[in-house]
Amino acid sequence: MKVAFTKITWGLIIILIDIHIFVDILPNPIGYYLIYQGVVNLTNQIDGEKKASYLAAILTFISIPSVFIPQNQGDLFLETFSLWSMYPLLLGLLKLVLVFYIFQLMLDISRLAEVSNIHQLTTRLCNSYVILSLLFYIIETFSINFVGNGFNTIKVIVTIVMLIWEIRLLILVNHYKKVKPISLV
Amino acid sequence: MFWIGILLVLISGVGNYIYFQSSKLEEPIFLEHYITKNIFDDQETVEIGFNYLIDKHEFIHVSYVEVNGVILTPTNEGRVWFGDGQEQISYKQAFNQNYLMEVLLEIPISEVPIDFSKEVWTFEEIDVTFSNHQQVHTNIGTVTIGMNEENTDVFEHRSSSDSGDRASEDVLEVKKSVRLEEIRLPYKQVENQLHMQINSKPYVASEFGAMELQKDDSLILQFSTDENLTSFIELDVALHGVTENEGDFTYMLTVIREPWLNQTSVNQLVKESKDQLK
Repeated sequence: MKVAFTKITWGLIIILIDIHIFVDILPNPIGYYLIYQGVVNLTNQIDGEKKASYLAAILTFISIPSVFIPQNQGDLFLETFSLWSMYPLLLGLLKLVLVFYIFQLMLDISRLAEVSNIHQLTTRLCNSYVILSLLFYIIETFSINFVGNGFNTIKVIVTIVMLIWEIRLLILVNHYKKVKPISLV
Repeated sequence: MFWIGILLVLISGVGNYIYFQSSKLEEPIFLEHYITKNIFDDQETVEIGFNYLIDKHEFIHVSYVEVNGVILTPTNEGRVWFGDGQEQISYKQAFNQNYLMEVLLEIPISEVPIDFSKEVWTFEEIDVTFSNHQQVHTNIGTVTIGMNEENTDVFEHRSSSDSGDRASEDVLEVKKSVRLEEIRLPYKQVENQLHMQINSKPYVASEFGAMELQKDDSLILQFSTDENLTSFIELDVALHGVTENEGDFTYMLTVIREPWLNQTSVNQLVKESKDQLK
């Protein structure tokens, strides 16, 4: 359990941090691969749903182009091939689905956990994280057509709140290292 | 619920992308300009400004302009650099998806293949090269550059006032008794856009008859434009006539009008431009 969640935590950190020096020095595919390993390890232990591991495997490959494209410069692709301009959005949505599946796994574990409030905590964070992410991406989709100052302010605020929620997610996932489902004890 | 949310984001993404593509400019749109510039014997350069709309998402500016083989170079860059190396776009007006930009161009008079002592230089079309190497051949209205024709002291310019952007008033004092025979706007197209009043009476320049003016009379010329003006006007209105003793005279009065665009007029300009390119 500890190994699995350590890998997932590191995977999420690598995906979150986007430092481009010619290429992404913390490549997203490595992050997704770590999550894949972590999730496989986890589902073997609790005999959980395999959806998350399949999706993490797919994302490992799909995210390869993002090594070369800074996440915040999707605009560059608006001029060229039309499918590429949707790439950052699709990648983001798939990541959200993956996180949603990981939440489901964590909920499965916490349902059986000896510490009672962690299940409630996970449910709440899952709901707020999903709603916030959807809001973030909706705003993102509109941002190509509205480049006003007022709109940029909203975008910056939502991005900052989103970042806080990403960190809350990391803390929670990290916390699961210590959670012991009663049935496994 | 989760999947409905994901679906909504996808629909919004595709919808916004389609809208973005459909409203994207094929090429920057130049507004109409009606410009006359008078030059003097020893003048080396003359500066003119052109206004154009660009996409907000691809910030480009004019690199240079070619007209009849003459290269005009910008004297403003369309961008400002801050101390910390941050680039700031300098635009005249911002709209949902477009910026209105102005490029000021310097015309080297000696390179113009025209003998200005005999003729004027008129052009309506220009070739523009943008900072992204895009080349655009476009109509810009009409520009005329010629030697200064003014040769009189029959009027003294007393005052000039602007009441907002759309109306101005010039007061001329008549120094000698004259017969004013003609008021000439350099471009016929401008007559519909620039409304003239002389001593508070509306006139159409081409239908102006004649007017006897006595010494010490005041001649009040008012020019106004419609609210929905989209062209730039910077021209000299010529007042022609005869004096009692000294023969013909020409007096030049400069009139400048800049439009203040709104989103509706920008949408209209974009639509017209797209229709033209089809």
